[in-house]
Amino acid sequence: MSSQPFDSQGAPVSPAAPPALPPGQAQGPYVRLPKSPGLAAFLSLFPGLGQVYNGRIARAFVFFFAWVGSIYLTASGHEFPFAFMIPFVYLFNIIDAWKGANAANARFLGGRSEPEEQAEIESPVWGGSLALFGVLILFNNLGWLDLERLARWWPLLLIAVGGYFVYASLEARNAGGLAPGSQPAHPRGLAPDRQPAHPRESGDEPPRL
Amino acid sequence: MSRPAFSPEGVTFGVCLVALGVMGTLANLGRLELLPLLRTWWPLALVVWGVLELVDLWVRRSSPGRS
Amino acid sequence: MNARKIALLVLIVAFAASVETAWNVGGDMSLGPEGCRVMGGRFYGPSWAFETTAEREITAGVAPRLEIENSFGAVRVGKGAPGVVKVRLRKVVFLPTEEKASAFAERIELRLTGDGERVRVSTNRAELGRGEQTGFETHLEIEAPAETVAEVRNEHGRVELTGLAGADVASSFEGVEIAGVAGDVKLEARHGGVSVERVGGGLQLSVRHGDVSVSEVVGSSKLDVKHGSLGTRSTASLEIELAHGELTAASVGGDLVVRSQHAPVSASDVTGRTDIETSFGDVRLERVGGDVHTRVQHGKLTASDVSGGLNAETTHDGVELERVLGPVEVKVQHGGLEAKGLAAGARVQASGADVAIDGFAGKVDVEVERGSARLAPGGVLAAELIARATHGDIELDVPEGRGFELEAESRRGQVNAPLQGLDSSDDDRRRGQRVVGRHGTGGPSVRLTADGDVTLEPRPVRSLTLSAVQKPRAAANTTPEEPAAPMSPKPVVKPSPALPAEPKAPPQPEAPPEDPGKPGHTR
Repeated sequence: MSSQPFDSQGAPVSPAAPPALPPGQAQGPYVRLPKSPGLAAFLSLFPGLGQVYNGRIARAFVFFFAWVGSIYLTASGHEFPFAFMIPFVYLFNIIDAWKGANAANARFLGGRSEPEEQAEIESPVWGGSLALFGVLILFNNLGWLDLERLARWWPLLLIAVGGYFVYASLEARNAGGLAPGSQPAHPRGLAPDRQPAHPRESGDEPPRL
Repeated sequence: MSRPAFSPEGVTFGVCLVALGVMGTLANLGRLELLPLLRTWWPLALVVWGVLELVDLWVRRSSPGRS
Repeated sequence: MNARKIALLVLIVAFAASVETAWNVGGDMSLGPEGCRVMGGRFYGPSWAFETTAEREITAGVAPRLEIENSFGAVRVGKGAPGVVKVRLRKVVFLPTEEKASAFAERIELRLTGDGERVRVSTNRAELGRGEQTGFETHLEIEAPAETVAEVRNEHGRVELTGLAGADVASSFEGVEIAGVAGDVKLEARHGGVSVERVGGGLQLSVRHGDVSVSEVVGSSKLDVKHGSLGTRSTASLEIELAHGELTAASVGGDLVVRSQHAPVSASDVTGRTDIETSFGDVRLERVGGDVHTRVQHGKLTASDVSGGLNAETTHDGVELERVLGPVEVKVQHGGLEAKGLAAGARVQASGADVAIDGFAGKVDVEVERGSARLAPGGVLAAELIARATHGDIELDVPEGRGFELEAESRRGQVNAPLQGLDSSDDDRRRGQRVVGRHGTGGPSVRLTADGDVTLEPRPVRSLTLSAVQKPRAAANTTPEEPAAPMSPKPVVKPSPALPAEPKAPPQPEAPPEDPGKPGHTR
């Protein structure tokens, strides 16, 4: 049976909360958090700067060029869908900066270091996409392919990406199913043979720690 | 997570610089016209990079003992 | 995904965009998700050429106005037979197969309308262009009577005019060449070089992003050139506005007025007045028949053989003068003056460098801050001479012969004046020296004041040879020569009453592609 901390009155205390201080004792020294979510959000008024503040450079690049690219493509006469992307990218960038700063602070409080930026990509999609786009543009430049005609089929990309997300979700759900021989989990979270703990009644002795 | 066999983006960058230097030298010697050539063949950089990424992935997956 | 990969991807895309921009240099760009092909004044891919001809009779003796409107193709207009306007249209269609190109070429019409006074030449490109993705070029070759005034509006195509009575051209993204025009020429060009020669009337020109060459213009010229160099030769008077380019003017038969910035100016053989204001560029003048008036910021002025007076202001560089017949007035900030042969005196204010005048006559007034003055008269001193030097010395060569009244003061140094009749006075001062007196039989007043030493050196008289000043060589006053022979006559099939109707010439495939990167590319 796992032990659970109790306070002086015998009430259980959540393990995640810091232990309660004895009455009358002043609070300990102030801990300065590494990131300010407010400052991160403010800096994100210039897209990408908040992510730079949070130390997430790759995200900063992505947000900045997504925003600039949306504006350019909208101004070039492709209002749909890029005009809709401008406010979305802008607001998402601010929210992402805020959340990124909070996540950094939570990691700091939990005593964990910053996660390393993923150095390697474990999927052939990245390399394959690069090579594919390069080949398409090169063939277009050589006159072997007419990308303008192909461009009208661009919504197929959305279908492909959406389908991939659906497939990945299904795969993840199936992978989260039971290993052979194990019992299925009770939908309420308790094994059928396990009784819920009774609330303590007055007069009962407190459980021993 | 296995370490990479090599750095695909580093190799791509180096190869592109070398190619640019060679073409620029030949252009300055009057052997070729740089701008039309670059305008047509620049996507080759993406193709080379993509292939290198795939090669790097294949090497890593086929050598699980690398650490 | 790490930052390195993102950065490299951005770098590659930015490089491609730069290459594309450099290729189009000012052309229309239509980058977008469709890809990176750009239709900016250049078509490429396989192409096929077809020809169409037409002609219009005009009433003999009438000077017609020829209005030409075209784009994506060259326009060439030359002198032809009197009384008739002939037009040849060469169509180049960029489609993969000859059949498709031929079918498309059938739809391109040459429009030749108008009567004896006004003839219009155009194509139906505007109607064809709507919603059309095919690239095609329309090249016009026109023969017109010599009395014709041509008005040309062309884009993305070269314009050439020869042997006409007048020209009014607006062109962009290719060069313009105008030669042998008997009357006035008006030209507006963007992104292309310009050459104008043998114009019998006046010239009005506005060019951006292209070099300009103008020669043998009989009438006055008004030239406005930005981001390109300008070279003129054998012209009448010139009024020039120039920025970010270089001006070279030779043989100007009249006044030269230049207002420029970031533009060095070089002018020679100007018969009239020269009035130049420029910045961040040197000014060089040789053989000017009239007065010279210059303002140069951050640049040096060099002038020689000026028959009139000279008024110059420069900053951050000096002035060099040689053989100026008229009075000289020079103001130099952060620079000095070196002059030889000033025949009518000089008034000089300089700061930051020395003033040296070797050979002068007439009244001279020199004021130098943070520099010295060295003065050597060309002959006997016959006029007043005043020199003041703060933080510097004064040296004056004294020719033997006629005397003068001297007042020389050195505030912190000494006065060296080994001449008879001069009295030195210390005035009970700790430093400095003052010498006053009459040298010889007296004469003009010589007042020298310097913080440093004042030195007077006697030497033999030498004369200032005024005849040494070279006059400007006369500008060639040319009338336009007889224009070149008319374009070689080609067999012309008279149109049927309903224009345009012409026999279909057999399609001719274009020459092998020149662009090494793109097969089938034709410019």
